[in-house]
Amino acid sequence: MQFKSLTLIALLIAAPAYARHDHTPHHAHVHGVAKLDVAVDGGTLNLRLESPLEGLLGFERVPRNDRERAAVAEMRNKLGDAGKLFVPTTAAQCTLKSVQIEAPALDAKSASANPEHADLDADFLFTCAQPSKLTGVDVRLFQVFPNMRRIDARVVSGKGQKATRLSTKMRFLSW
Amino acid sequence: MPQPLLSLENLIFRWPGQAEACLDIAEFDVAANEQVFIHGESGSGKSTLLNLIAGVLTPQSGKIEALGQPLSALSATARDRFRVDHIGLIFQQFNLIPYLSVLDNVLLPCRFSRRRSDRAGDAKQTAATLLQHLDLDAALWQRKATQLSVGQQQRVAAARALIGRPEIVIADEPTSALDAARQSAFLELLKRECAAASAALLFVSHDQRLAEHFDRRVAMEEINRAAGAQE
Amino acid sequence: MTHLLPLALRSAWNRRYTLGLTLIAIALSVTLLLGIERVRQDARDSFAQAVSGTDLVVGARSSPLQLLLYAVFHIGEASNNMSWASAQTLAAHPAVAWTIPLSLGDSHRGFPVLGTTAAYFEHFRYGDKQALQLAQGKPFSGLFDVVLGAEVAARLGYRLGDPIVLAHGMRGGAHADEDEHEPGHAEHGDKPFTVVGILARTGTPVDRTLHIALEALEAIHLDWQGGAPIPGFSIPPAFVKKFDLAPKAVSAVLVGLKSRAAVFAMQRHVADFRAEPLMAILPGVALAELWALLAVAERVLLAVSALVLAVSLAGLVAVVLAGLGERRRELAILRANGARPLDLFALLAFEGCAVTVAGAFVGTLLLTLLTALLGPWVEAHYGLVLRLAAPNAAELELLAWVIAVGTLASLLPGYRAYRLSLADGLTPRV
Repeated sequence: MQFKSLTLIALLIAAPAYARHDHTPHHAHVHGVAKLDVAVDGGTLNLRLESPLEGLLGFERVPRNDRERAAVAEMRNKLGDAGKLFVPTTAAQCTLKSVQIEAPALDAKSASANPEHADLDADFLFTCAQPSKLTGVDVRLFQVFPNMRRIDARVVSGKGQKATRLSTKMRFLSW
Repeated sequence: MPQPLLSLENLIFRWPGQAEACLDIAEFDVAANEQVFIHGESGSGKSTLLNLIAGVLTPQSGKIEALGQPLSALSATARDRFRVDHIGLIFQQFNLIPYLSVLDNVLLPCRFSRRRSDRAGDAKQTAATLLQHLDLDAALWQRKATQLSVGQQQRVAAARALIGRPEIVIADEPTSALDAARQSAFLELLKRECAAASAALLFVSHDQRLAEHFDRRVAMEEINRAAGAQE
Repeated sequence: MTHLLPLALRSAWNRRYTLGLTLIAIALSVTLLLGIERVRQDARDSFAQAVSGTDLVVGARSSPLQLLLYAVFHIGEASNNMSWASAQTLAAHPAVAWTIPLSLGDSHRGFPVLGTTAAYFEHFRYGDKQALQLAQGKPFSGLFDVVLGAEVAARLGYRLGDPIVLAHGMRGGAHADEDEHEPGHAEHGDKPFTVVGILARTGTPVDRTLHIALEALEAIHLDWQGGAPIPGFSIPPAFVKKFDLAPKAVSAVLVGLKSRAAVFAMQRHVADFRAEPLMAILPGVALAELWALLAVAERVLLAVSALVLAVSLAGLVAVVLAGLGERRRELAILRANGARPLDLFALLAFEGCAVTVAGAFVGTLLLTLLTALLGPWVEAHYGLVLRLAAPNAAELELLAWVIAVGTLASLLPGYRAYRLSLADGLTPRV
C-alpha cells in the first residue's frame, strides 16, 4: 500500500476490531445482544429484529415441557403485540400492520441444526399517516425482555444511513 | 479648646490569638496642623498604632476619632475611603510602585480618592509644584520610580502623601534609609510642605536625634501602657 | 473599577515577558484543542459528504472497512475483485435501480484512476444528494477519453484536449512535484488519453480522481501481463477496438435501490451470492461504525489537548501567584493609597482573566491562520476539506469553557492577594 495520501484516520484503524458488525451469513451469536435493522421509506416503517433466543426466552431449543411451551407462547404474544415494543414518534400516527416471526429452533421439524445456539428473526411492519413527522422509535424491548442488554441498530431513512447502539439507558432510536 | 484633629481614648488592641494587649492607650490627641514626633523602639507598638490610625486595623475597645469621625464605627470599606481621603502615608523605603513613572506615583491617591483629586485641582500641575518644592528636577518626572536614588524616592513619596492636601500625614521612619545630612534636609522639607498644605504631621522614628526638629515629642512608652509587654 | 484598569495594564506590561509566555502557552493549547475538535468535525463532514444516495457498496468479501475506503474514498486497494458477470447479475436484480461499477488500480501522478461507466455521471451523488456537474467539457465517450476531478485539473494545470499518460498501479511519484519517471514505474505511454471533461469541485474524493471508461482500462492492459508490459509485444491504440474490451472484473459496485426498505434484504442477498463470495455494506452505517471505532482515539486526543490546556492554565496561576510574592510591597503601597482589598482581588483576578481571554483569542486567530495557510495543502494531500470559518456553536462553547476555567483559576491569586493585603496592612513583612 504505497498510496501516500492515506489519511491519519485510515492509519488509526484497527481493522480486525471492526468486524464486530459484519453481516456475514454466520451471524455472531452473543447473548443479551440483539440486532435491529430499521428501514423508513415513505409511510412504511420496517423493523427487523435478530436476537439470540436466550434473550427472549431463556432457552434456545424445542420446548420440552408445558412450562417451556407456555413460555414460547408468551414470547410470541409479546412479539405479536409489537405496538408495545416499538413506539414510533406519536405525531407520525403509525399503526402496526404485520408481525412475522421466524424461529426454526423452536419447531420440532426444523430444529437441531445448531442445538446450542439459536436465533429468532422477527419482522415488524408499521404504516404511518404522517411520515414527515416520523423521527424515531422508542425501543422498549429492554423492559419486556429483561435479558436483553444491548441492541445494535442500523437505520436507513431519507436522511441517510446510520448505526446506533441502544441500551437500557439509551433506548430512543432517532434519525 | 478646638476639637482635636485626631483623638484616641482608652484604646486597646490585641493581635488575634494573643492574650496580651499590644497597645493600650489611655489618651492621645493631635491638633490640626500640629507636628508630632513619636519615638519608639521596635516592638513598642508604633506600627500598630499607625495601622489603627490609618484604619487598616480596628481596636478591640476604645475610640479613635479623626476629623470628628469615629473610625471604629466605620465599615472596612469606609475606613479605606477615609484613609485615602484624609491621610497621606510615607514609609521607611520602597514607597513607590516600580512600573509607574514618578509623576504617576504622585498622582496615585487621586486615582482612588475623588476628594484628593478635587482638592488637588489640576492634579498634574499640583504634582509638578509639589515635586519642585521637594527639589525633584522635572527631568526625573517621567522616569520609572526605580531609577531614582533612595533620597529622591522618599521625596516622591512625600509629594504623594501631600497631594490633594490630606489633613494628616503619617511618616513611618521615612529617613532611616538616608544618611545624616540628607535626613535633616528631608525632614525640613517635609515639615515645610506639611505646614504649607496645612496637614498635621505624625512622624514616627526610633531615632532620638531627629526629635530636636519637633516641638511636641511623644514616646510610645509614655502613651502605651502595654509597651514592652510583648518583648 | 475603571481606576484600576490602567494600573492593571501597566502592572501586566511590567511583567510582559512571563505573562507573554503564559499567554502563548494558553494560545497554543487553545489552538490545539480547537484544532482537534475542528479536524474531527471536518473529517466527519468531509467523509459523510462522499457517501450520499448510495444504498449499498458491493465488492469481493473482505473487510467492510477496506471496501468502504477504497470504493468510496479511493484509499488503499481491493485485495480481490468481483467478476463482471456478478456485477451484471446484480444490476439485473429487480430491486436494483442502478449500479455504478468501479475499477481502481491505476494512477496518474499520484491521483487514482477510476474505471467506470456513464452511469457514474448520471447516478453518483455527493453531499446533500447533489449530482456531479461538469465544469467544462463532457463525460467520456471515446475509448481514450478522460474526465478529471477538479483538484486533479487544478493541481496539474490540465485543460480540455490535453494528453495524459496513465501509470500502472499506485506506485511511484505520489504527487506532481515528485519525479514520476523513476525506474520501474510502468506507464501506459503507448496509449495516451485526452482530457474531455473537468468536473466541478465537490469537496469529496471525486475531485482527486481521473475517470475513464471500464473498456479503456481493459484496453491499456491488453498487452500487459502480471503488472508489466509483455516484452516485445505492443498493441497500437488504433487496433485495440478489434479486441473484446468487455471488463472481466471490477473492484466494487455502487448500488442504488428502487426501495430503501429493501436494503437489508439486499445485503443478505449479496452475502448469500452463489457464484462467488461477495459482500455488501451500507456506506453510511459503515462510516458510523468507523467513527464509533475512532471515538476512543478522538476522545484520547481531546483529553490530551484538554490536559495541555489545564497545564497552561495551571502555569498561568503559578506565574501570577509567584509574582504575588514580589508584588506584596506593590499591593501594600496601593492599599496605603486607597485601594480596598477587593480592588486588589479584582486587580489580580482581572490579570489572569485577561491573559486567558487574550490566549483564547490569539489561539482562535492562530487556528484560523493555520487553516488558511495549510487548508489547501491538507485538501490536496489528504482530501480533507478544512473549513475556514468563524468558530461554530460547539467551538464557542469550548472557548467559553476555557475562559470560564481560566477566570475561575485566576480567582485563586486574587483571593490570595485579598488575604495578604488584609494580613499585611500597610507594612508587608517581606
